[in-house]
Amino acid sequence: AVGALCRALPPRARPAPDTLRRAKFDRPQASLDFWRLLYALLKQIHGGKWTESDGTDNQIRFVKSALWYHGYGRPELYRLPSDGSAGSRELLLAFSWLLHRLSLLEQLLARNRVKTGDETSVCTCEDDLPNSQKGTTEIAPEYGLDDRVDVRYLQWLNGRLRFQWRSLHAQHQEQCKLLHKIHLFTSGSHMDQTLGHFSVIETDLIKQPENYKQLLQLLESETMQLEAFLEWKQLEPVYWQWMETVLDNMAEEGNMCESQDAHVEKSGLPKATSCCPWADSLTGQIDRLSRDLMTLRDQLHELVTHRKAAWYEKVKTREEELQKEWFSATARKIKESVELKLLDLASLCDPKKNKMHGSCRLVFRSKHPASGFGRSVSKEPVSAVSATEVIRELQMREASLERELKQLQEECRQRLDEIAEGLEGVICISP
Amino acid sequence: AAEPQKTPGLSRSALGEQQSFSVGDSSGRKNSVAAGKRLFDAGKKSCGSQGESSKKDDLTTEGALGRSTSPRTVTLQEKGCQLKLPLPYRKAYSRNSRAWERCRLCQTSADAAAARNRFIERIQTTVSFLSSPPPSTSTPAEIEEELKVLQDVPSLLSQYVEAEPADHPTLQREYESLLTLEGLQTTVSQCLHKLQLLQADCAGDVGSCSPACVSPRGQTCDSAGVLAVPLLCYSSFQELRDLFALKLRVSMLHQEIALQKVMMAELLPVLESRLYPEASAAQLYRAIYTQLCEGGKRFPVLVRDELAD
Repeated sequence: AVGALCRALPPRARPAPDTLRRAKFDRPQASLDFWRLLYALLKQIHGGKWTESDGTDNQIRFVKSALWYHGYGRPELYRLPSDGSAGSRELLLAFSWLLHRLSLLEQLLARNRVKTGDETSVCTCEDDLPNSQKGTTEIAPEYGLDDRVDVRYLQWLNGRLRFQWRSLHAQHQEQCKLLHKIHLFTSGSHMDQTLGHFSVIETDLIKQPENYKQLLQLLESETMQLEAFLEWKQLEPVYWQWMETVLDNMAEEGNMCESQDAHVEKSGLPKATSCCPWADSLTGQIDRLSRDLMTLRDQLHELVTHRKAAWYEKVKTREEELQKEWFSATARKIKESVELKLLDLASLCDPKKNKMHGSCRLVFRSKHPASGFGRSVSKEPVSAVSATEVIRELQMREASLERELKQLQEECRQRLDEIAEGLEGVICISP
Repeated sequence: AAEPQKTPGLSRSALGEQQSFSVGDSSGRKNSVAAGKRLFDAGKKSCGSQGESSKKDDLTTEGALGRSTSPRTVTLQEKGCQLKLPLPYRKAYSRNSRAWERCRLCQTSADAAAARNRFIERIQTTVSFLSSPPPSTSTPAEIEEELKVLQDVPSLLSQYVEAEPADHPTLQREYESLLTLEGLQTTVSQCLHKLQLLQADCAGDVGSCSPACVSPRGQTCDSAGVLAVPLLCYSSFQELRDLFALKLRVSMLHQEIALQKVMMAELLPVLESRLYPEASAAQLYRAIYTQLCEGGKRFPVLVRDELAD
């Protein structure tokens, strides 16, 4: 089982089965390897760039914080030394926990899928921005010796930024054109009917067949990984039972004395209450959201009070009419329909809704029935998303972002108007 | 675009130079010629009813090699639907997709699930976790997830609020509108409450925060569908272009909003505190106005307020 597990892991982060076996007995030699393994695996999940040249203590720190992020709570792990000299058994426990908690194998298989060149990402969340926060401070200003920045520099930068966006747009459109041509012209040639056309990589194969050896190797290695995964799934009970024996060993070896130390040592854990950047940024976000919601709440409160008053006014004058049976029936119906409407809204606020993230492969499926292969698609792949849906969602997102931007601009306008009154001798006429 | 004899479009970024796929070229490209020849032999069978390139194949392989004077280039457009991938690749591909399908359908056996749960339970109860016991405490990952979802709520709710008109023709409509607004009020308070809980969780987790906090933006989606082939189907060229354009626009808007907020925080205080050289006050004002209110595109006009004496 352990062997299959190891073979199901991606090639860059594949341990030797012995490492796991040694870890069971808490052999210190296995510790460093295990740290490296966890580092490699977690980095892949978190989408970061990683090189083997990252120092050991950095790797260990990363692994610890990633485990913390996912809610792993064994203090022994966090107490392990930063030189990687001990603790392989703890690491083994953490590894097994991750296997379960993050569906580690499945996630890695999905992420490391052989690329076809047609991929694009679908999610609408702004996951690029936080990283760029660190970058901007380095692009340091080239302004003069005194601390002032000329506002024209700002304007110039802004112009450049807009230019970059425009060129990016042009390039994307060009890419679309070419991609579409490939899809269109190779339609009907692919042996996989659900796709129907070649991917970019495959088309390249036609042009440069000598490259296909590499692609072939990648495909075959992936297939082997998948088969190892299937094997592992069969042997899974064995693995978990084996892990239980690890826990048994630990229990025997005197967890009793450890738990006493645990109480003593707990105070030694880093109480980084004030300097946790993650918590700070999250608190910031929460505060902003709270502010927005509270403004909304106040706004609604006013509106509702106003409306209610008006409503009661109206109702007073039509007392007899409302006593009639038909109105209470309609009232009930109205209540139901409003509830339905709000239920819709509630489902949008629910985190359980499975939003698409990650990259998808673009496939061209013409709507025309005359295209021929449309008929032969008997089984639809489970997760084919249509571009129409994605476009619609993006449009909604765009609309809401535009509104937000306009609101911000309006706020600025008001504040600037106030400032203008303070400026002597000048009147500002807005465009 | 009319590009008669050139291969149109193998994307430059992915594939290097844009060369025409010339079959008759004999200089130094023996390998590809030979391979090309093989491909064409294989691809001789008539293609599907695409209607794309239905002209008969008048480029016989002998003809190509014999005619070294005018090498004919073949476009993807003409040959696209007749192309066939090399056999080893096809085999590997079908093995691969079958393996993916099997993995996707593979379920965890009951034994395995039971054994796994036993292990997980034991590991959770053996040692108490750092965050205090109550089940409401979430892991940092979960907190972030919930927060992400809540981000959209204010603007969504605002839209609903604005959708309610101020005047109503009938009593029923007015009643409906009132109920809707009240419902929205409830939703807002629920969200605020959720936020408070999240804030408390956040503080709770901080106690165990490790110094080098990673703020990972992993794309963790639901594990059930993870192994399925993620396809995004588009039905026309226009759709593809719209898709890309919209994605770019959304990213741009995100960035603009972030920049706007930062600029507001930095620039407005400068004007408000009057810490600038008096001489350039007007220009400064104009520049900042443009940047903050017009997205840097249009300028206000500043007029001297001189009374005609």
